Amino acid sequence: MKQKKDVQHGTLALMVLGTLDVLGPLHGYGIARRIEQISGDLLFVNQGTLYPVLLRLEQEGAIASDWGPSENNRRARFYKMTRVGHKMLEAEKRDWEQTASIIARFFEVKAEDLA
Amino acid sequence: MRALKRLFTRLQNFVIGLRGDDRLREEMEQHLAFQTDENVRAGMLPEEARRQAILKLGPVQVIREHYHSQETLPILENLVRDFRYAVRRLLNSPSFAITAILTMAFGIGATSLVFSIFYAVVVDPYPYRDAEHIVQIGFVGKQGLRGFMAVNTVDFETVRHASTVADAMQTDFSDPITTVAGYPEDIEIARLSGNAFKFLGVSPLFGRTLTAADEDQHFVVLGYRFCRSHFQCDPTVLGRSVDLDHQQFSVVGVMPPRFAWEEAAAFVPLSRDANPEEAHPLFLRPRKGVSAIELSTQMLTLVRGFVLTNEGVELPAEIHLVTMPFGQLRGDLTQKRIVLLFAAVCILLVIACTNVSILLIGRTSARHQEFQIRHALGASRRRIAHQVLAEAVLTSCCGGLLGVGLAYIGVAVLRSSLDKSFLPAEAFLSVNVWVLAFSTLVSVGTGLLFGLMPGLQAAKSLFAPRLTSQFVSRSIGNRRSQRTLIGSQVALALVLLAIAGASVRSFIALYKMDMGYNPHRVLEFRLPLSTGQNASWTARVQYRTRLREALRHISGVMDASIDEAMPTGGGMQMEYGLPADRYGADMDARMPRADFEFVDSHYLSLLDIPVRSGRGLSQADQEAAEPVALINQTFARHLFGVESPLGHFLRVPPLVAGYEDFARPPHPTQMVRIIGVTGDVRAAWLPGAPPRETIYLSESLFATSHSLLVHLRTSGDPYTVLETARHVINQVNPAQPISNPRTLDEILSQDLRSRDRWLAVLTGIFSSSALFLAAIGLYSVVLFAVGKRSQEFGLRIALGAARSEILRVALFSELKVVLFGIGAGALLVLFLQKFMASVMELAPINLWFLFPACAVMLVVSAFAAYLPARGAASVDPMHALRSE
Repeated sequence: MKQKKDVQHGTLALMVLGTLDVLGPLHGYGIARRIEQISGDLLFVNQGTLYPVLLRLEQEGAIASDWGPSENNRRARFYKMTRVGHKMLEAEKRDWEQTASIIARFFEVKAEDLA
Repeated sequence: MRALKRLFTRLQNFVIGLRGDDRLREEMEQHLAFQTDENVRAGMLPEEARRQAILKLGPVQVIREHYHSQETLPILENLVRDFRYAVRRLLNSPSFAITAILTMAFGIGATSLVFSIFYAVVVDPYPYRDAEHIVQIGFVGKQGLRGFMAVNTVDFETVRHASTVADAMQTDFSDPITTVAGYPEDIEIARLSGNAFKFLGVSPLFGRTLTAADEDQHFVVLGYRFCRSHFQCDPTVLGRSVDLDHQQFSVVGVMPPRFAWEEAAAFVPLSRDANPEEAHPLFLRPRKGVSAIELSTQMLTLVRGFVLTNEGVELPAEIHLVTMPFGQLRGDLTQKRIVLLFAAVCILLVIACTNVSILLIGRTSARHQEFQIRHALGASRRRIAHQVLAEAVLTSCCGGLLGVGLAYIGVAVLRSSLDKSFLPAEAFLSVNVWVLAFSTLVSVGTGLLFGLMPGLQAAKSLFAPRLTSQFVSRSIGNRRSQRTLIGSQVALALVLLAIAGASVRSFIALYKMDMGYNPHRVLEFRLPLSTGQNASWTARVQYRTRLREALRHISGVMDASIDEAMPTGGGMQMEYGLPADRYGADMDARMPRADFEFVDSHYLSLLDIPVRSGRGLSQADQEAAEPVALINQTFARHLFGVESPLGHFLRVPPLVAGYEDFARPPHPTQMVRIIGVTGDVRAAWLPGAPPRETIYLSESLFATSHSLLVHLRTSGDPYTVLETARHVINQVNPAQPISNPRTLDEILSQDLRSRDRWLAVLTGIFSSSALFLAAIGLYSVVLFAVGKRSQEFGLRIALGAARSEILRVALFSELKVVLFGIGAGALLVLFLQKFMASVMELAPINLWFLFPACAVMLVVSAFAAYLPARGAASVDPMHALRSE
């Protein structure tokens, strides 16, 4: 059986931003669903933990939210990216890619390369 | 930036009390609904679908709490809650609250009061712009400071534009006679160069200040005090005319109260044309980045040039210049005293804190069970420690509030009762913003300080093994910290006692000191002489004799002297030389300095200054202006060793040169013959200092046209003869004013000893309070200790122990700690002793004083322990055992 992983601290915010960036305004459930889908169900999200993260991002001005009608005519709170959010995402992305590439290089390195 | 924005939002949420709980609930409800729908679509039964949805969402309560803590600032919320709780707790136990708050109020009040003095005297004594950079240039020779740089108005311009000087001003004094008040009186006037007001940078209360354009005008700017005492101090005073030495000056401005430059009553322009060659003292402000040495080096070059051009002589090679910061000469010792006072009051504050700490430890240990239950219910150690801290800070802040009130009262009392000379004239004692900020800081700081130990105790006690109320182990930690505190309290109280002892002793030493003259029942007043009056030398000398004889015959006056000498110190320092036949020519160049006292034939006998050998001045010497002098013993020993100085000659400066209105005595000479040796006279404020070298000359050699001093020795209260003296003088000369009548005792205590008197009074108050607080601390510790052991005592009594035995046990339970504290305190005192004597120039702490101080400490401690111990001994065994 595949082990589901808990979300690494801090990366959830990045995933939220990434999701909103690609899909445009979404409500909380939508975001949770997407994150699950994109991460290929490998990632276990205690979906409720999303809401404090959304609040924090909103306080930081990265996203904005408002009530609106959902696809099945329920009232839901929709979140959308702001300009600050875009900038933040870009910066985080760069950081993340840099970190990932450094780590990747460590994995690729072989003993004889260093000789 | 983002973090800041977030903090701001959260702070805002906290303040407006926003609760986003409803929003979260709705969002989560929607979330569940979406998930349930999806699960149903996937084929689940509705109930199962909802259950799965809830599982997937996670623990709702935890999420809500997390959400809430993100939303606002939990630290602040807890703080508010802790304070609310602390208020309730304090209200529940008013006796503790009152004791603790009063103790803190006292500590913080005293500290704030002393801080306000400290601020007024040390931090911000002068209202002048950039006052800490104003300097005077001092001449230093082999004997130390000889005087200050003074230049004439022509050279002044050179100094002002020197490369190291940012700006400079000149000031000089005169004490003209004015009749503003309806009778003649002399007032102190400062004559200021045109740029002086700009240099000092103080704007006037009304009207305007003097500028360079006013230099030759008859304009006057009044000082606030003079304006208050002689006019209604309002803008109508502008344009009025003031008579100064028969010249009319028009009032153009009034300065604010703190502008008290050289304590002058009024300010007039220093005119250039009166005598361009006359030198006036100089104040300057160096350019930024110029060091003191660079400044004095350049000034030395300039001064050499000035002396060579103006006087045609070289400046003696050993003279060098130093920069003296403005106010340093006047305030140095006072500042040291105030720093000491501040240190003393800080010790008092620490003692007060320790006291409240002890009380609080007793309280927290009683709440031990409550803390354990709270801990068991999930309160973290930090939260519990925070609660105790909150209680401490609340107590100290209440105390601080009350303390500021006390400081206000104290400042009001001190302002009316402190002697004028205690503070610089410009200093303004008040509870200002800085004092309030200081008090706030101290309140919160002390709260944290004395809450720390009880807080740690509370947190530590959580690890005690059981949730029971009765066991001993927990109290051991508390007892230990209480004992540490009580020990340090005793030690600090002893240090404070020693400081107070040293201050009181140096003050008593001042009083008891044999100054070499008898200052009791001597009235002194000044006779300002109008310029030009009694123009000839003979007339001047006769005027003095006439006045003296008239005064001597007043009933109640035992003797009278008309002179220009100040036995209390502050006489004129001048250079003298020795004749070349004895010491060689180079001796003249060295120009040693001595105090010159111009006296008449009655002065020495009036003040009981003994003539050790030779003879005193006679009336004949005076009337003939015989060039004779007396010198004091120290001077004689310095100059002549064991040899008798009688008959030797001294060269004195040309006394009459430089005064436009001098009257030439019959034999103008600079050589005076020594006819007698007098006893030494000591300065009244420095018990250890060696007596200064003094020369007594007949005042008639000089016959000043400026002002004279009158000294009257009376048989009773000196002031009773004052009215008669006024009357008698009026009969001799109706135009002769009298100013500033005071007794020598008053001058000594108000001007010269007030610093030490106030230090003694305040440290005395502080140390007795410290003793009292230490006693209260000990009392509560013993009370706490015997309270803990009341069952044990009950049991002992039930088993047949004598009550006296119980009393003994209870009484001596804390004795070891007290003894330890006394030992530590004594060591501290020994450590501080050297510092006190050398830096503070106080009488050294007498080691013999330590014994009585320790004894007092012990007796007070014994009394403080006795009261609760007696309570313990009278415990009813049945009652004590039943409370199990």
